[in-house]
Parts: sequence; C-alpha cells; structure tokens
Amino acid sequence: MTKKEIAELKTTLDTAPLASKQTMLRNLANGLTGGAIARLAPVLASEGPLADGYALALAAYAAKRPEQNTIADRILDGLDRMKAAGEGGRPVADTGPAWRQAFDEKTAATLASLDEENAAGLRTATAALYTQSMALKGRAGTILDGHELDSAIRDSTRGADMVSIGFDQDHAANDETVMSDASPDSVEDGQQYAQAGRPPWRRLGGRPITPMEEMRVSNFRSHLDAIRELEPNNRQLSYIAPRDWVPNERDVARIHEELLRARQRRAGVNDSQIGETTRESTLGVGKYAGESIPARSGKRNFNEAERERNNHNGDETGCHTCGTSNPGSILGNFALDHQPPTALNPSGGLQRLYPQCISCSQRQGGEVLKQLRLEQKK
Amino acid sequence: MAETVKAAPPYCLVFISDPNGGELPAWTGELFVASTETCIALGCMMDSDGDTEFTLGQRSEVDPGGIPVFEGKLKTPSFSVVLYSAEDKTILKVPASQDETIVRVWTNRLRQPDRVIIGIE
Repeated sequence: MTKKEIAELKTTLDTAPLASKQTMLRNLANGLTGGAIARLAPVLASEGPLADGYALALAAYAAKRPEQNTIADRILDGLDRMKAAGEGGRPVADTGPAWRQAFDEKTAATLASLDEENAAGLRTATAALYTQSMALKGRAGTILDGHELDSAIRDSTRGADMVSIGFDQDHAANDETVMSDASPDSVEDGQQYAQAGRPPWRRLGGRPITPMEEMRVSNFRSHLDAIRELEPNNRQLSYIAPRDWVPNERDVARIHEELLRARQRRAGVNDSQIGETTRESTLGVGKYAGESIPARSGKRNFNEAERERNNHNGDETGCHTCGTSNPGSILGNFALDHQPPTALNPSGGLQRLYPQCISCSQRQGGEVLKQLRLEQKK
Repeated sequence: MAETVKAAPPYCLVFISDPNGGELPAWTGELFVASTETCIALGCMMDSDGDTEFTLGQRSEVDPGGIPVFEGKLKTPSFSVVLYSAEDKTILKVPASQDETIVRVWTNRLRQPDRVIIGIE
C-alpha cells in the first residue's frame, strides 16, 4: 500500500459505521501477511487522532485468535465512543489528565522501553477499551477507576500481543508485500515502498549496553530458545518489544518461570497443578536473597544504619523476591522486609531484614492479610 | 464526623471494606488502587519513606474538590466502613448509612501518596 492509500484507509475508517470498520480491518488483517501488517501498522498509526488505535486493532485482528478479535472489536467500539464524545473542536474526547497520568505511571515500568510514539498508540487503545467498558457500565470515561484501568491496560497489551523480536528480523525481509523500512515521513505520496521491514515498536536512545544488561539479554534469549524447543506455539514467544529492548530482572524471572511451567507441562503436569507448584510466594525468603541484617524486633522502628545497610544490600543483590535493582519507592529506598513476616510470627521468633521492592512488598501485604484471614477462620 | 490520622502502614498499602472483611482484589505490579465489590486496596507511602495522612469521613465533610482517583460502590452490610492495614489493624472507622456505600478516594499523587482522603456517602 502506498502512503496515500494508507491515508485514504484512515479517512474511510473514520467515517465508516462501527460494524463496517470492524469488518474492513478484520478483512485487511486476514488478507495481508504478518510482515506486511507489522510494517503497515506504524504508518497507519502516524495518520493522526484515532489512527494509532486503528493500528493496534489491526495488529490484534492479525493474531487471528478469538480473544484478540474481541479486543480489537472493543477497541474500535471505544474509539467510536471517544470520537462521539469529542467536544470543543477536539476530534477525540480524552479520558482526562488524571487518567493519562495514571496510565503513564502504571505503564512506566513495564513499557519503559517504548518510545513516546508507541506508548501513545497503546494509550489510545487503552483509552478506547476503558471508555467502552465504562460506557457499558453507564459510567463516564473521565472518572478514574484504577481497577478498570488495570483491565484496559491488560487487554490492550494482550491485544497487541502479536509482534515478536524474531518475527521482524527473520521474516520481514523476505516478505513479498510492497512496504518499506524507510521512515514513513520520507516517503512521498504515491511512492511504492521497498523491501525489508521496520519493527513496529522502537526504542529511544542509543547508549551502549552494560555487562549486566548483556547478561540479562543472554539469559532471556536462552530461556526463550528453551521454551521454543519445548512449545513452539507458546504465547510467551510473542510479545511487544523493540529491536534493542533490554529485559529487566523481572522479565527474566517471568520467562524463567514460564520455562519451568513448559518443562512441567512436557512432564505431564496439568495447568492447575503447575499454578500451585511454580507460584512464587512472598511469605518466605526470596530466591534472589543475598545479605540480610538481623531484626531488632518485629516492629518497624528502623534506624538510619539499618536503612542504609538494607539499601546497600538491595543495591548489591536487588529485591530478594524478584531480583529487581529498582526499589520503585518515591525516595529510592528498598523496603525492609521482615522474614518471616511479623504478622505471621506470633511466637516472636527471630527475624531478619531483607531488601524488597515496592511491588513485591505490596504483593506480600495482600498475601499476609489473606493468610491472617485463613488462620482466623480455622 | 471525619477523622484524620497519620500512620505508616506496613507493605505500603491499606484496605477499605466492611468490618467483616471482603474479597481482596488482585493486582499485578505496583498498586495504585484496585477493588472488588467488597474491598478496595490502595497504595500509600512506604513506611520507611515516611507517614501517610489518612482522612475518612462523609464526602460532604472531606471532599477536597477535583477528580477522585477512585469512585465506586462498596458493600457495607455492617453499616460501617473501616480502613485497615495488611496486618489487619484498624486505622480508621466510620459508620455508613446503608448496606452499600459510594466510596471516593482522593490522593495528593498517584504513586505512593502521603495524603489520602476517603469520602463516603
């Protein structure tokens, strides 16, 4: 498709009724190869308001899975609702500054490697899903509901879950479809695109990779290779990632857990049993634990020396539960995690303090409360 | 009558529900706010970073204006709403007039706020 044809496609989509829009994009996704869609999507996304949402819906349809189709249908429905709600000359009603801030902050950690252009695409799709879901419940999209936002983010990232690193590099160059790896901006109207692919998701910045990052990339890839050997169709093999993306410790841990699950499935363990055997509880000392310090008591009256020592331990070996070196707290301090947790240590047994990131600390809080309630019921 | 208290809850999170508890929400990654019909979980300041100031009261008394970070209905069969820590220790408690209460939450920032206002009606 030429740039002009893509612009016309966008205009047609803008004016088409919802059902036609859904049919058009679904047919387009069915008719084009994966490589062509991977190159069409970013060009379409650059066509202005709503277009990045169309692009993500197209990518979701291209996965050719029922649940992806449903998400794509919902994105288009939400985009229509946003457009209809536009006010004051704005072409698209937004979900409000609090919503955008919440979205950016929630996705900052997981999507830090995406540039603004791609984050904007995901934001539009998420806003559309959020608007659609809120509208079905009779609620305004300008109200920020964290639970709904979590669901929308989860669905929009799942909707886009069809682009893999290997896919672009290995297949796009051999694709017969007429598209280009040149920047869309440099293509004149009517010009045909050349061969070779451009990844749909890019990363800003070009600083050299550090040895630690190199190790993570190596581990991540070797886990992926091992999963691919066991389960060629494993969904974890397909995800949004720019070409030079570097996984963080949590990504490596996540893919390692998936590898363990894949091995268990190969060994004949069913999915419900796998959940029980591989789920990482926060109620014990984590597998990334390094140095710890003795706790003076179960109280949380930590002194400066204990905080400093705990931060030092966190800098050395990361969160004892997930391994991340980023504590995630406002002041950059690691949480001082009593092990065993104080609330589950009624006898007052000896405890030690381990560094923990805020996400794992909060998860532990939920698990502690759940455990307390279970014990109260006994 | 609204009440305000400064506290440093462990695990940088608090819960809001009927005193008889509720179904805990699930979340992934850092928590801002998550909810079920019977329980709301909120992130707050990490205790080693400092205290968080919590206010709980009728919306008419505490509404600071602006868009709340959370708005939703909470089942309150005991006709009261309690704010408590992950160690199940009550921080604040107020009576509710119905068995279903509209809860709104305002915070001074989305990530690890140190000022949390909870209005009910």
